[in-house]
Amino acid sequence: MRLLFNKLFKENIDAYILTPLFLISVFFYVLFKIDPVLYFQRQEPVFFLTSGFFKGFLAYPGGLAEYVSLLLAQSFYFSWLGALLITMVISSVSFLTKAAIRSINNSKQIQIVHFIPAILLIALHSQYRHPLSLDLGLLLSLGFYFIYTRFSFSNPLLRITLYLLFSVMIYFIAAGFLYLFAVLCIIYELVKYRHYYPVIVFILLSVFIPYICVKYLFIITTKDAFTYLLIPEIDYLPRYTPYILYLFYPVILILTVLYNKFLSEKLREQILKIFLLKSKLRFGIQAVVLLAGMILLFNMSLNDEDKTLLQIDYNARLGNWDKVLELITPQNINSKIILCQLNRALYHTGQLSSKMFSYPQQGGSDGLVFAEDIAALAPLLRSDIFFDLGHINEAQHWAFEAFAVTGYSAWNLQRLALTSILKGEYPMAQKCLNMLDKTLLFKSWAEHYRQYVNNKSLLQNDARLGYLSSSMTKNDFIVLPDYFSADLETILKSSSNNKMAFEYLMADYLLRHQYNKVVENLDRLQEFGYKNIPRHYEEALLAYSALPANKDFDLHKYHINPKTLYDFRDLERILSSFKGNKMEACNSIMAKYGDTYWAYLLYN
Amino acid sequence: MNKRKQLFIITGAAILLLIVFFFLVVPSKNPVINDFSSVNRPPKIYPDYTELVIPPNIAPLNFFVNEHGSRFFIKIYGSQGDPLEITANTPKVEIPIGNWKDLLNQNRGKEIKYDIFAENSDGTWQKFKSFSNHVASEGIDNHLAYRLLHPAYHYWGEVGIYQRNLENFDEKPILTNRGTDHNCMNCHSFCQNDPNRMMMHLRAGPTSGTLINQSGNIIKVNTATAFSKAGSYPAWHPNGKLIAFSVNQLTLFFHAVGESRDVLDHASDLIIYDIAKNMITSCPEISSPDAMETFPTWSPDGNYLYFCSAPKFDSYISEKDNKTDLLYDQIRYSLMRIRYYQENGTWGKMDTVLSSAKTGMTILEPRISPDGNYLMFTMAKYGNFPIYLNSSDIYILDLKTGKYYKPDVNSDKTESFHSWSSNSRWFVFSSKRGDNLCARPYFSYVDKNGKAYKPFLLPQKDPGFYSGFLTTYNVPELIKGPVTVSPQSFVSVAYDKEKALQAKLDPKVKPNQETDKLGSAGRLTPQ
Repeated sequence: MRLLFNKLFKENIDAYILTPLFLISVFFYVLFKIDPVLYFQRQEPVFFLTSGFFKGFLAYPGGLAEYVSLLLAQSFYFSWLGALLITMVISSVSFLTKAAIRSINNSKQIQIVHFIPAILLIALHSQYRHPLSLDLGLLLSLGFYFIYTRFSFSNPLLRITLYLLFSVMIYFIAAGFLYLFAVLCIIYELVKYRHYYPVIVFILLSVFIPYICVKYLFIITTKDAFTYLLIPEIDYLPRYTPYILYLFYPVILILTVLYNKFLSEKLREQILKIFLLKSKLRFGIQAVVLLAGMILLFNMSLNDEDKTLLQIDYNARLGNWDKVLELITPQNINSKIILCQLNRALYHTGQLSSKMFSYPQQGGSDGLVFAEDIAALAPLLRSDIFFDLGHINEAQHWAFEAFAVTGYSAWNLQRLALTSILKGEYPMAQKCLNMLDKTLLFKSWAEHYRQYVNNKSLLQNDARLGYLSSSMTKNDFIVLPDYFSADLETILKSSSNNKMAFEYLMADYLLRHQYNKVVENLDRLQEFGYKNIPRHYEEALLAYSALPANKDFDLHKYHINPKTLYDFRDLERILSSFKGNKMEACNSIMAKYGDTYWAYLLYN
Repeated sequence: MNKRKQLFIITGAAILLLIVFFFLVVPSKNPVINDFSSVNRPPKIYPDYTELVIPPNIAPLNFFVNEHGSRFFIKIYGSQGDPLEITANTPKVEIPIGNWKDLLNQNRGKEIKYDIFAENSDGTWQKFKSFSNHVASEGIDNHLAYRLLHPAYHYWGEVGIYQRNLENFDEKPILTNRGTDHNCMNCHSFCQNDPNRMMMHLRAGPTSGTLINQSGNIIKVNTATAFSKAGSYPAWHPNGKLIAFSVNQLTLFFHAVGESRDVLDHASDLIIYDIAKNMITSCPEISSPDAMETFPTWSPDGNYLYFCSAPKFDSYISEKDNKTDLLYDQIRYSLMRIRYYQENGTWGKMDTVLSSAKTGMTILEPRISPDGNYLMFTMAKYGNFPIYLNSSDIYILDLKTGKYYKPDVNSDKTESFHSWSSNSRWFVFSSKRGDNLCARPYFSYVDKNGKAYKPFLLPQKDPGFYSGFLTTYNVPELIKGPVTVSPQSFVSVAYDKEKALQAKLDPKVKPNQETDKLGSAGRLTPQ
């Protein structure tokens, strides 16, 4: 028993303790720190169970890896399943890396080197745009290299044939990853067989295969023919991480060769002694090195701002508005997209007219609907906002723009299905539902909304769609992207119960310093069932009343909250104490009234 | 491996092979239906392929039987040849292509009939009223070229120009934007339905320009000169040496209700590109600053250039009560033509063929039948971009009598871009009647008297194809055969900077000071 224990755990401490520990930490790191559901949020991967969808991926080298990665990426819809998938990929990469090193140096003392690509790969996964197809390409190259070394034909002609077969397969499945396979095979050939002519053939084939493909077989660019999937089109942190990952393999193989070839046996023994410390110590050192490397790289690679944005988007998509507000702080509003999500969340929690100035509204009107020039970054969010507003044509318009940016993603299809149902364009709705019916994750959604097609009573009984159906704009007008308030005014003319349009219109007036228009629209508060004048509107009224010519206006049975009145007098007093110099009064006013419309008026 | 094991494996494999053979090779026996009840109406089928005139060389018109039934039996027969019998366990009916071709060939100029039976759950059969199709004597050009893209707004994703063999279901790309840096491509056009003389525009990126293929000799040219920006809507002169282009300044705008997209053309002119001379020319009549000229097309004899014209954009800007308004819904184009003297390349008199004042609508996209008898065009309430206008319909002008009429091929949705078959007996057009968003190609027969018959949808191997296909068919063009130039050849020329041509401006044409005001032809094209 003791012997068995020693055999298993002391001699193979890497395999039985370090590796499982590493993989468990990877799983939990991915699950809790990265959160795979945010990949789904960012990438919106969609997978259709149709032959047409599959055929599209056969049209170019690397398509199959993308097809499989889209299928696997469906697991990102569930955090734990996504984490499990990534952990499995990481463990496969570690295993194959170990095998690759052993193909050159048969020593079992690989130590922790084979974890380096895995760590680099996790760092790549910290970028939420990271395509799973890169992982698959890497696995495929290493896997085929593993099989290639196992065959180990002594006849060079057979090796060339096998190389040709494998490289064609890799190229068709994972395009540019052919080159990783080629480099590994070339090193292997030089080290094991020291034959030069197969190496020359390998090099020629590696150029010839993509060349033939771009020239005669596929409609692709020359750049894509040689680099597709291998060279990612996204920016990683640190930027060169993928290239370090690729370079690791030839470098480690070459180092292994040099180690074997140039160091004397005595020196090698001494080096081994350093590394082959007693198991416990060795384990400790390795664990510490591994952990330190991971922490350092992961801290460098994870973009917290991007993560927060995705968490906000994710919760907004689920309608978890309180959670959205929890995630947004005045400090992290660094983009108009976040500001838009904030204002949406404030509206949906009934706080837009009373708390919007508790946050920096530096985006002005763009904080309600961001301008078209940045819309390509988040076309579906733009669609979301218009959808909420009952501006259904624009919601549909931006869902289509989203198709061009993110493809036929399930969310784009869902939006188009709902806008089509609301517009009564049932054949189009059916088409979208048919497509969703062919996905893995959204079948039941499609089934549910299929009942709404041609069934207006069901639509009316649906809380959200029923409201949208009654509040959506009915009269045509030309959409003016640069004049958001003009659109809202027109929407309100035809949809008098559209409360969001009203609040957004008031917010737009406030943000544009047009508080006189807030006063003009006071009479509409009753239409929307307000019991009191919302705080920011009161603040606008008081600011308006302070102008010399604007003493009289109709409060329409409402009255101004004494607290607001008191605060306004207090603010006037502070300003007077600084002799009306608002810049000098800034600190005092911001400390006490930084969350009011008055502060926005004075300092924006 | 012992002998017993070997025997076991061999026997197992043989049984498996037999089973496969039985299911795949031995044809299923059609039911003998002696007893059935009659339903006094034709069956509902999708697509609607009932009571049509069909080309003798069209691919099988596969369809769904939209009737209840656990099994279906379909018999298609004519006065000649063997009947075609199909038993289907689902409502999907896929007609064997070989038998279908035989049947159509043997019944040219005659009727073929469809008997459709549905089996009830209790095992009894019902037979629907038979319907028929008339097989025309004249075939249709056997290929269709079109652009496939997502319904276009500001951005685009995957775009490609494809060709479909109408005699079967083969679809091949002519060029896709995966090969050209994901740019936009549009306005593919052929000279007299000839697949060997074609052109297309590539927009944006390093491959920008106009690709012109003349029997495998491909050139890329930038048609922008000091006179105008690059050309947009093309029309080949029948001699294959000239291409007329419009130069447009298009802006996309949006409606709050209904079809959201709409387009304004702020300024447009016509230019002529001489391929051999690599030269752009024009004349004041077709590039007047007082008018917007667009959608050129040549008469089949090459003696006239037809086009659409509307008063200049500024004339639609109204100033009332200190308020500026654009009367976009009053922009209407008339159909014009100008004499062209081919012998010396000079222009003659211009006249109005059909005035928008007379029709009360805007006249767009004229195309003349190759026999020169009819001019097909679209008319809509206003504007220049019929594909986005629900009011857009197909019309025909009889060039001998000067009378125009609305053929019975239209729907309450958009009908737009159209193309004649080289024998003038068929035409294809875009229609959004399916879902009001994605355009689909429909074909119609036109007899010698100009009567157009019930149109039918481009058949697909899987009749359910369109129910999950969100991509739009854009600019369907009938061609007499396949484009044989490979996509890779187009890509190669598109990237070849050294061979790219810059069109020269005809010295007789004065450079336009207003060139900057004309936008590039933009990325919008009629669909």
